[in-house]
Amino acid sequence: MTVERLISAYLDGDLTPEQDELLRTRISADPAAHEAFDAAVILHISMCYEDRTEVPLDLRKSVFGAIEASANQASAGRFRNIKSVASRKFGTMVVMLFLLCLPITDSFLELNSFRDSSIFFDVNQVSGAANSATNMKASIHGTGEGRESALGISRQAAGYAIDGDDELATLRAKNDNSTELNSNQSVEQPRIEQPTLNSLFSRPLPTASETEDRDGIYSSADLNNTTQRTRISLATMYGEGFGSNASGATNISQVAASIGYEMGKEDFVGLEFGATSYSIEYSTSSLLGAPDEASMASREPIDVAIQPQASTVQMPMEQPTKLTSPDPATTHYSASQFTTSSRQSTVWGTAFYERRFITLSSLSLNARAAAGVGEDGLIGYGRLIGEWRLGGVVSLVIGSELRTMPFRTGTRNNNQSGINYGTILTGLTGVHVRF
Amino acid sequence: MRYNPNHRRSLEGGLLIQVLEEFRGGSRDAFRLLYDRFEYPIYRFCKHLTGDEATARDAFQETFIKMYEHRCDLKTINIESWLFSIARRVCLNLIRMRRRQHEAFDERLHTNSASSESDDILRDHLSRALSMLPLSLREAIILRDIEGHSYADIADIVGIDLSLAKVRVFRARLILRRILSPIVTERSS
Repeated sequence: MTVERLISAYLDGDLTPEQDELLRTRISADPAAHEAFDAAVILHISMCYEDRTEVPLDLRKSVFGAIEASANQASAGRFRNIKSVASRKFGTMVVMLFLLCLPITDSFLELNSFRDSSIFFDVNQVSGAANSATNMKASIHGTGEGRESALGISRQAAGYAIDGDDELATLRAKNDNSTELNSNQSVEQPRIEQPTLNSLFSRPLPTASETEDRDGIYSSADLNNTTQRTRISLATMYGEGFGSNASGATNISQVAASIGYEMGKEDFVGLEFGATSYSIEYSTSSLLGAPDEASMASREPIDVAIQPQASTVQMPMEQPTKLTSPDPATTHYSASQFTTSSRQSTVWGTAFYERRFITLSSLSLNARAAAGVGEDGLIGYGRLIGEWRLGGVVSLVIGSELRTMPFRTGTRNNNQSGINYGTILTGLTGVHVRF
Repeated sequence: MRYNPNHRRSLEGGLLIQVLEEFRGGSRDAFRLLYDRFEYPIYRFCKHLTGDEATARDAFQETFIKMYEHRCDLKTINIESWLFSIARRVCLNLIRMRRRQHEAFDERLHTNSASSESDDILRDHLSRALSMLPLSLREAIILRDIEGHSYADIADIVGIDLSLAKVRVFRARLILRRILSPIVTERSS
């Protein structure tokens, strides 16, 4: 082993007795080795007790300030986690709502072939009331218009055995004879006891006494009058919160857009999506303790007896007996209270049922109830809307709403954030388009 | 020579486990205790490794912030090694970022200064000599001779084999001695 290795081992305190003896021998025999040993020891001691470095006092403050900021970011990150979980729930709920509404949209998608759709309804009605000659005429007219696709659907839906224009001509001829048509004789039509789902969205056909039988056959206009198509309501709303019982939540505003389908004469169901934003205030306090400068200056330096031959020096120890805070006698505490306002936004989606209660000329009063989910939890509201029909399909609406929804809260001292439910009263204005 | 013993060995055994448990849970008080325990060695380490006080301040702050942010990653009770490994990474990143060049060899190190007998001068020269070492050797000798870590801890902190840690410390000592030999020889004589 070289002298350098022996010196290094000596500095590490790893020399065996034999190596120690060898090192001593070499040092005494070789002046260069002696010089190298002395230099190594001096440097080692100089490094071991190079202890003048003091941590600047301002660093402590800046570190703890940064930790506070980091904790606040973590709190915000928790909100993000809440958001991500809620977003998945929200997405799932939206998909479920759309699946539930599929029968409605099925009807909606047929609006472009509206007449076909109405014929489809008619045939169903005929199949449900096969003895009604009037209804039968309506169905015959529909097929006579050559709407094969509609007729095809009708055949499939109602199980008709009508085949082409020959039988149609036969039926028309029979009808021209102004004789009451017994549909069972010319058309094999099974009775369908259960109306189809689409028929739920159309008004019942007028009875024979309610409709005028011109030339024994309904015109196209008659058909339009005798059935009601599915109407659609589109709306955009803007709301300002008047008040809420959610602690700390202020400046509440919301925007929403909805699409509804007419189920009956005065009833609509649909989906509404929107976003609610609000300001929320945090009050936090923090207590930072740091040794005062006088305390730092009064700390007695410890005299360590340096023994050049020793590679390590034992320092006096103080073993605390319990988890304690900094000594209050030598520690300055500074208490700070912060009130922070942050703007929060949450998106939501609901399914609603709306009913028109009162109609006076171009004015009407609607009520709506809705339930759904938002980013942070479940949402429900009730809404009263006054509607002023401007003419055509556009209406102006104004109303108020009572909404229960989750509000975010934060307690930064405990590095926690949470959700509290609250109720808000909101004033709404917007535009409705119904067609 | 000023020395605060509380900063060397104030957290041990069951107390350390308790503090670490609370620290992992986000306790600020536990963080303060750990900060008090390690602020001096970490600052010293940062200062020696970066060789620059401003960079050392930044590294020091970033080390403790990372320590708090990544508290959940602390799987071992050996927080000292974990913390020094954070400090080492932070220092190396800052050094790389600032592209700090090693200072030109200071001729004063080879002059027989009239004040070379002073400990302060020796420490200043030592600090300069440390900054001349390659980073790998510098961190090894700082951890070993200044911070007093075992070779196993150094290997753990730096992420190298135990034997390589020993080699690096050995080489660093040799180079330091060569750099500082004029001063040390004068002083010893």
